[in-house]
Amino acid sequence: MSSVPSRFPPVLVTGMGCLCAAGATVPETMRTIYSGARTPVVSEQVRADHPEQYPMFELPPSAVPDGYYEGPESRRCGLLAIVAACEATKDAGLDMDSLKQFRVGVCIGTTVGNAMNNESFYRDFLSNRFPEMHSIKAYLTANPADMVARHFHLKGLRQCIANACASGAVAIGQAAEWINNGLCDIAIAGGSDMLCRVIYNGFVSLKITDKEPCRPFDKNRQGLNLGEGAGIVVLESPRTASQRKAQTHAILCGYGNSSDAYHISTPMPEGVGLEMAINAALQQAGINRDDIAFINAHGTATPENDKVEGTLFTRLFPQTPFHSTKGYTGHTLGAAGAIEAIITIESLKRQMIAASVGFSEPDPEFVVNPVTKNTPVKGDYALSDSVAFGGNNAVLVFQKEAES
Amino acid sequence: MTFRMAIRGIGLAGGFGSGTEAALNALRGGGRPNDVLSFQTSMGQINYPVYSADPGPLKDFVPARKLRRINKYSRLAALAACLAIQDAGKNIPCMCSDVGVIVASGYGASSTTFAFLDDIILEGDSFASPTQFSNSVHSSAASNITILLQIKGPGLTVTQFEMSTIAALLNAQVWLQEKKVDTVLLGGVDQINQVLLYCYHSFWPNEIPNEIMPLNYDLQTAIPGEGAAFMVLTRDEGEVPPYGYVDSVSWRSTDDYTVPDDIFLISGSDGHRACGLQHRKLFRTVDPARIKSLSTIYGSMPCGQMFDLAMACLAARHELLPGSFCSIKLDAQNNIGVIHHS
Repeated sequence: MSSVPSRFPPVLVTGMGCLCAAGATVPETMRTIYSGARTPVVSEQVRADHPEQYPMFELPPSAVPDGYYEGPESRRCGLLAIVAACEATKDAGLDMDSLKQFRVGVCIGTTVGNAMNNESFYRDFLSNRFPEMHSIKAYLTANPADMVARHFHLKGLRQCIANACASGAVAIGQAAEWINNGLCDIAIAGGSDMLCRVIYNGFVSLKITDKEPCRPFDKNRQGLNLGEGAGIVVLESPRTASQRKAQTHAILCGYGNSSDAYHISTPMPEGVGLEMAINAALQQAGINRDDIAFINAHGTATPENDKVEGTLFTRLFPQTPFHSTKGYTGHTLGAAGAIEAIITIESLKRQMIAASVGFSEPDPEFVVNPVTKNTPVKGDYALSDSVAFGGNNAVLVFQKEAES
Repeated sequence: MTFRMAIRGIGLAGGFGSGTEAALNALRGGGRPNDVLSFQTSMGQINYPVYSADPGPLKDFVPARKLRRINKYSRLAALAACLAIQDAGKNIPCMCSDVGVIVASGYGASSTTFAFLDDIILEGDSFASPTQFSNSVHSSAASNITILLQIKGPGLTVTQFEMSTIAALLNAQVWLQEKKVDTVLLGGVDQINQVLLYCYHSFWPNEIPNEIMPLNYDLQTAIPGEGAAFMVLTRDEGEVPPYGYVDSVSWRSTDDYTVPDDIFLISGSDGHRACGLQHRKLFRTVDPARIKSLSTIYGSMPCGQMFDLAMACLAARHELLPGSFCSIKLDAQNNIGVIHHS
């Protein structure tokens, strides 16, 4: 018995919101990445006692509205998701009243937002200072999907996806599947993550952070720069969108998800798992590799990740332009797949992809290279891929909305 | 969502032991905490009863050398996953891409996160362990299952506290209905640690229970449990499955849900007084003889509904419970997870 997946019924992207170091909104983010500017900093908030301090793409405290900021170890992750969700729903022409008329699901990916990693609480616990339960109560109400649902007074289905660095893309894909299978009419979906010392120390311990601004796909790449932010899209069925005369940014027409079954922190060198996810997404979209106008790569700038993608693109997409936008946003972990989905959609609409900032010297290990300047693209389909810890791969394929 | 899923195999690991025989013994004889963990509070040392699970039998399925760097959270999940596959009669490893893995967890690998923090706090930031870090993510259980069993299909980890199981099952229905995969290996896993117990004691300092009294809604009697419960699920394609069917799965609100009056009820109540009022309201018209809680067997944990479902299926197969039942789990936000089984 072998599966023959159904063609993915189209799901419309009718609203988008994002905030990251490149901008506090979608238009701001796109302006920044087309300008080529980037601003990684050595954080004042997230410090450690390593000999080197590694730059990160950090949001200012003002990234969330007055009164929302609760410190670095708080519900900030969910608050970032709410800010992006407010932009996305407004963009989709939805407000709290109009949302009540539909069955609305919430699906948010994260890595930090669902973790009990409050360092100050644990320090007190470890040293028998018997901490109070304030931060535990905050943790118990910090699930980003719950926070977004509560903000919009939504009572329906919601889930927090914890697929490591593919979480944002998986959340969008799963939410689309909910819509296609009648679980909801509209979904608020995406990813959110925040910087903290646990994440910072963890990636430094893996020796995959660069002390310079990151250099995706470059021969001399040394690793990633961490980032934080949120990307949220509003998804809906064509019927619901038509009923409420909603705009359409793009059509989500393929979603592939696969496992490397290889290693807990290293991607499979041959990229077999990622290839499976790409093939599944293309099959669902009913298109060929040649139909893809461009790729927004995961492109973390770690030696291993970029090698997998570079090798695979050489074999599968030798003529397809691609770029990594992590040079503008940093690696926003559970938010990355969602922020990059939004950048992919905006680039598809504009038929222009931004220069892959940080790349200058080709890696001889693969033939293809990312674009080095803002590059016009021509075509109706674009692909965004995510590669995560534990060998989880996720691929989203978007189709440009036909011009009326 | 109404879409029938056939239950082909069950794997269980908890305070009662591991495997269906151990679970059946507990179902017949009643469960109780099997261990005590100690921790310090401002009132001195506290000994707290727990349902502690042993992942040791995993070595019967996987060579020990492959388990060296895998944490207990992942081992428990992998053990239950292997038992479920063995129970379903499939060989290990599966080595295929038409199997999907879905894991539900409330707390994730928090014990590993604390172990990672131990190194930072006690030794300094430069001593952070990359192995602890990469195993501290919630998805480490699903990832380790795919690695150990060579499953190359889609993987998903859902974390939604008490509603984690319902969310996971809804995703499984979707995957099977749209033929994304032929089989879903789905399970719940949670792990206890001293921080969790400290929190229990801090929230309810004067109430250290000896046993869970799940249907006494006025008392705080929750006792933390750990373990994993997994199932092998497929589409309903003719052959009658050994554990029956999940007929429907739904996420509901207490505002608009009435319990069915014609079916046996498995209540997810696990001794948390905070949910007592809602439970009392929900079951007010139900004959108490028609309600059973199984939490006394496995303990209190966010993914407990996965244990409810797996254990009730096992009990039904052995005629210890009716074959048709409805599993109901409440969370603190007035959400209800409802599973209908036949």
